[in-house]
Amino acid sequence: MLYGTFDTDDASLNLEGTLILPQLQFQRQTNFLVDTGATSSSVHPHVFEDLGIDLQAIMALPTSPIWGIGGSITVYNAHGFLAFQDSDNAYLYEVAISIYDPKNPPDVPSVIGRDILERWRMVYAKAHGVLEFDVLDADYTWGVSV
Amino acid sequence: MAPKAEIEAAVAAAGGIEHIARNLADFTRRSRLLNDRLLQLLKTHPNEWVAMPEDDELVFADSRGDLISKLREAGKPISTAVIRFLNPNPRVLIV
Repeated sequence: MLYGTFDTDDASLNLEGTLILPQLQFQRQTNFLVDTGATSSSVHPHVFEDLGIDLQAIMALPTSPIWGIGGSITVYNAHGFLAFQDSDNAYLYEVAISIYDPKNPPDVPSVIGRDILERWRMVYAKAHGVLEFDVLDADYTWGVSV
Repeated sequence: MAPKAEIEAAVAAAGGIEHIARNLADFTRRSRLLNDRLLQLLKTHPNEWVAMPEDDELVFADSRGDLISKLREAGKPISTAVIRFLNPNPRVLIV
């Protein structure tokens, strides 16, 4: 079982995960907003900028539009993996991750979308402090001891 | 889906699953520790950026770029640091 948290300031739903992009030889842990309204998962470019990653490498990736309440924005699409873990297992998902345009990033956080969430059973009860994700399947599962 | 060998190669290149899991567990611990302290930090450091690197010691700066520079100058790993903006007026999001 994965356990998320509610942000103290705005009560948004959060879960930590690790983004791995082999093409860019990149891995980093980051906080994700849990977003059942998002078709797919996406990341803010500051996760790359912080580490001094050459943004040209990101901007060489294929682009596509994604749509939100404010209209459409351009994202760069990378093949990669998202990892999550509970006390017993690490779960790896192969994803087509959307990276917000580094030249004009929206002021929204990185999100876990339905590409991941549709494979979990989610219990959300903010009034009871409950945010749980029962992992129904993953592309790869390892037993871990941390 | 990628072949099993490709997945295993990607995980190995990232340091192996135990390394990934250990780093994620520690990142999660610090992320939640910072979240627990958020209300107090919003009072003492509003509109600043804060990082909690691996040593749990908080670092503050007026911009994300300055925060990264401070971490780098202090020799603290950036890739594993928990970073967030201390916004006293939380955004209303519709995403």
